[in-house]
Amino acid sequence: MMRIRRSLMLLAAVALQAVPAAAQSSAPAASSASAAQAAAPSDVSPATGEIDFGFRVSSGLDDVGRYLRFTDPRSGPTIDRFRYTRARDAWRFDAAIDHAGYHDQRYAASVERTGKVKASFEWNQVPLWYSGVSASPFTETAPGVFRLDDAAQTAVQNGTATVAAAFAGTIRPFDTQSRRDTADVSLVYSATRSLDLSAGFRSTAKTGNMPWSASFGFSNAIELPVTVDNRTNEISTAAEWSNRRGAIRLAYDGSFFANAVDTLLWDNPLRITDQTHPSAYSAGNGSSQGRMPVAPDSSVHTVSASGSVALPARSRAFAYVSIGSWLQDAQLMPHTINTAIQPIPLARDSAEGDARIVSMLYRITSRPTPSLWLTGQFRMYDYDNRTPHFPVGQYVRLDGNVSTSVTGGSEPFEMTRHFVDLDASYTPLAFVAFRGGYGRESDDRSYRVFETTVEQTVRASVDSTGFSWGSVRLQYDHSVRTGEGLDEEAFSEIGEQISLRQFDISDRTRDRVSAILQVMPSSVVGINASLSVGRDERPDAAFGLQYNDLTAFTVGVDLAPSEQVGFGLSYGFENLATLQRSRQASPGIQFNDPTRDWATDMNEDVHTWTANLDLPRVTSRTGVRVMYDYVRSNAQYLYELAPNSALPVPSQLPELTNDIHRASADLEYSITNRVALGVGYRLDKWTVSDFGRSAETLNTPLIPAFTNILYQWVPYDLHTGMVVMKYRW
Amino acid sequence: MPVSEGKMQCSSCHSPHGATNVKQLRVGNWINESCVSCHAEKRGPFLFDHAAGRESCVSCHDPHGSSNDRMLVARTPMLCQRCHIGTRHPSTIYDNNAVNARSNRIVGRSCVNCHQQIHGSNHPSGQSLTR
Repeated sequence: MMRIRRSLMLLAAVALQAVPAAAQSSAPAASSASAAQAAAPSDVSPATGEIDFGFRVSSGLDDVGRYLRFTDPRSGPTIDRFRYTRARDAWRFDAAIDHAGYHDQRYAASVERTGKVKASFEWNQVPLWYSGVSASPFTETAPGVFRLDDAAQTAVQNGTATVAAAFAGTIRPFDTQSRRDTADVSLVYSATRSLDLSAGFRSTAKTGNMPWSASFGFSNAIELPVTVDNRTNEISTAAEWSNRRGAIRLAYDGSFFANAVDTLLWDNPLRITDQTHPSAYSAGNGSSQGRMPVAPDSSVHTVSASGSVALPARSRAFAYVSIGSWLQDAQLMPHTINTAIQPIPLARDSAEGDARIVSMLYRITSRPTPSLWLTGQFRMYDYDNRTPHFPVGQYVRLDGNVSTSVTGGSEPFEMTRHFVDLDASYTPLAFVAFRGGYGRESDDRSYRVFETTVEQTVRASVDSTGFSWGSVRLQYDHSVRTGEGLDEEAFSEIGEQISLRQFDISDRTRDRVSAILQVMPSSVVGINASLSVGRDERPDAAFGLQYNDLTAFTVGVDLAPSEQVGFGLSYGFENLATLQRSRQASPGIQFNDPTRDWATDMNEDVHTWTANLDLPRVTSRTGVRVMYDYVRSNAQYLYELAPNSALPVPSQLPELTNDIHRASADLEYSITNRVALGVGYRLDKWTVSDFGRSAETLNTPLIPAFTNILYQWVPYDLHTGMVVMKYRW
Repeated sequence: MPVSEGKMQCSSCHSPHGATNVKQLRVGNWINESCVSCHAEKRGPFLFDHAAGRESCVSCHDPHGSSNDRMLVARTPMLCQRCHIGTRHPSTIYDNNAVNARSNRIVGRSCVNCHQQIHGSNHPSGQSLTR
């Protein structure tokens, strides 16, 4: 309010200054002093800004787990929010700082000279906290190299100790976390009124460690805290020319990924010397160490051109073409590091990964009458994988033993997608629009069971916006996808059931209905509601995903009876239900035995409650804000057997639950017009029941057949108190 | 995604004013190109690809959030068992007895405890995405 009042006063002052200048312009020449005063530049608005600084105390940080993983809530002094804006007639400067000095800090600045140049910079850190209770018998002796105690390995190999006994004394604790740091610079230069030249550079570095699996076999799975140390540099350049009739844009974009740790090497807890035998991949006791490549360096180059032109009858045509090249040519490592296995020659020394991508978009929009809109669009996306086939006759399974490749080597997957969309919107009444549309997507692909899939969609909606009482939207979509060129041999040669249909390309019927309603019966109350119902069915899939149903609705109310109080309350519900079928079988007669069929019935509910209370003027100088969010999700995976099943009755899995509570309370007392003192409290609470990652399940790094790093879900109860001084100018 | 932490917003991926990509994604020409603009380590192209992932990242991941680890649309092993029902371990029921036995097929990261290179592998013996 103060800022508005000051701005209004300033505008009034400027206006008053202009009056005598205008009067003087028709009079004999004004004095030089008056002329100079009238010509002097003035601030459009004076420099404004705000800064919040104070102190924060957090408790309960043992392991914030996955729902607080992108933040740094540690105790300490804070500069949580700094904003600065300076604007004059022809230019503007903005600066921002958030969470200064913490892992999630951000710094940004931008300057704009109106009609000439815009430049911006941002430095942004995003922490990723996996776990604070990690532990492992492995030690990283060099980046990407994980070693075990030799004496312990020897004892296990000789049979004088179990893994748990041999390595119990070598376990060390550590944190598992990483961070993404991004520097982003951009510049837009308006060379002329019609021509803009832009350039941007972004560099993203990821460092730290992350959970990574490195198995030796069914009975010897390993989890490691693999080092993350990579950088992606991106360049973007463009020239755009436009006038009232049309526009043309030419652009080049480049992306370069480099990984400083691209190889993982790790010891086998079961072996200190190499051996091989036919069951080594199963027992996991072949090689004394394993080796695998991690995220190879790669690059992408894309050039694009687009243009649009205005046509008669309020129409516009738009065209876009893009040609890209994805390259990855990392050196290939040998088939195995196991010295007991005869080396298998490589077909070539490097990956020679090469994909050419062509994308096109053509669109025409028209409004032939004030109440009729028409849109037609064609899109094509071609992923042409030119990576040469890598022939493999024999290969090494999990560094344990030699096996024969069923596929004969790599399968360089490629695809081409075509989209046609036609839409029309008719507005017979003010603020009411009826829309109808048709879409067709045709996809061609290689190395999958359907060579071609075609999906046709019809859609209809009615929108009503602009009424003072609110708005409403209702939409219905119906689509049918069918596959062509069924290649059941692709399944039979790899031992899959030929009546399996992979859900992303199977025949499918999809129906979706959604509705949004916003009502404001008066200026002090708003009511909103939404509903979505959807069903996907796969009628031809004897195995695989059968259907998935989605039901979701929200309802909320906002009240603002006066300037002194505001209140909001909302509830949301989502349900996702799926059914999938399989057959548990060994090769042979079991493979075709329907009494071995089974299904998974999944049901997941999510409930979300949100409430907030705003009291900006409890007293003339005091404002209070209270907020509470509660999200509860529960999922159940139930196993079902076929009639007369030959399978043992399964022991059903426990329910999976997540509860998140977030609450905050803030009080702000205005000491002066510019200075305020604030106190705040935050609660972040998470409780979880997950059979796969609980502390009860992963209670030791040395689980038989699974040496892990205790990457658990740990419930937390985080309380944060803050005292903040706020200064605004 | 770090949305509640304020590090990302809807407009981080979508352009409300229109875009040349599907779903008004502001980067790239297909869903995957948008995803790998931030997750370039999964870009490839790899010697051995995971075809379903190469077709579309959203076959397995829900970019708008999920209760499952890694924003998967369903937890492992059930997600994997929607497309892999071959003989032996891919089509085996992993029930609560397997949880109590702490089988590496269902606890931890389940199938990915061995098939770590789930987005693709450059290893000459990586056709099963275990190396």
